[in-house]
Amino acid sequence: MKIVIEEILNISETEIVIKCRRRDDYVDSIITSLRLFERKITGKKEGSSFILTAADVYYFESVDDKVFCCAEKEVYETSFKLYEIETTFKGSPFLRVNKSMILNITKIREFKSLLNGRMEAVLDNEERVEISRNYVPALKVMLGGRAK
Amino acid sequence: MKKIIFPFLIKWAVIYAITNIILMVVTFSVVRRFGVDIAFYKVSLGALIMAFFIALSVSLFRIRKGNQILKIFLGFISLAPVVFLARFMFGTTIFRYSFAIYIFAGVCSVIYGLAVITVAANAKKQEKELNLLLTAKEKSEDSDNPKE
Repeated sequence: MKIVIEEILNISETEIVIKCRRRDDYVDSIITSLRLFERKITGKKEGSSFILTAADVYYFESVDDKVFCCAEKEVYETSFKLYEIETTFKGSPFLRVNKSMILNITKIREFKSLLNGRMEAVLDNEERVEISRNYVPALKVMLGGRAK
Repeated sequence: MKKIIFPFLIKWAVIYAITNIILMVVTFSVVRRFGVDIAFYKVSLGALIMAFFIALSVSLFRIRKGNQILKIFLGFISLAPVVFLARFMFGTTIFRYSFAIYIFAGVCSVIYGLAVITVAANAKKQEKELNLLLTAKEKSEDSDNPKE
């Protein structure tokens, strides 16, 4: 797939034009992915509601039956369940990395392994999150590799 | 609390099953080789307690937070009672000479050390693989979008 990006200063909204021979499943999956990533999420913080773009979210984490949505520095509470988020964002860069977390893989800076065999992902905001061994094959596939 | 106790109980049960099989073989060999009777309660009780300490060692080693070296050390320390349990189970039949207990402790240490090295090496290998995939993905995105 060839990606061409044109920077035009005087346009108000970002526009994506897909050029293809015919619209097939592959093209549809690109459209789904683009739409999902532009999806808005409502998060609550200190009694106020905020609208967030999925692309700004680093990860969703479930703690004591509550689901939190973590952006670069802020943490918001969402009304969605983790499995609902997983279903909604299927086909997007959001991937479940352990029992209680769905991570935006575009925010991963590097991976670090620990002496006890655990794997961690260092995010762009310096935060470290645990990657469970069970989810590593899916992560590899998402990064363009092959699951063994 | 549930999150700590249930996984520990599962580990204990699995390790107990494995320990029982190993001890069954060892007991059978001892009975055949030396022609002595080993008390059933000693072996069954010993297996249960031994499995507990091994599960504790594994749990301490795999714990999420804390200093990595300390966790490895704690895991090793919690294995120490296994040596005394073996002495309690088989008594002078196997541990006729005092140095036998040191040899057994040495074997336990070597097994633990090898397990730590293997786990760390596997995690390192996986880390390398994931980082390579991540770099390749970033490179392909950069080549698709040279202006960025």
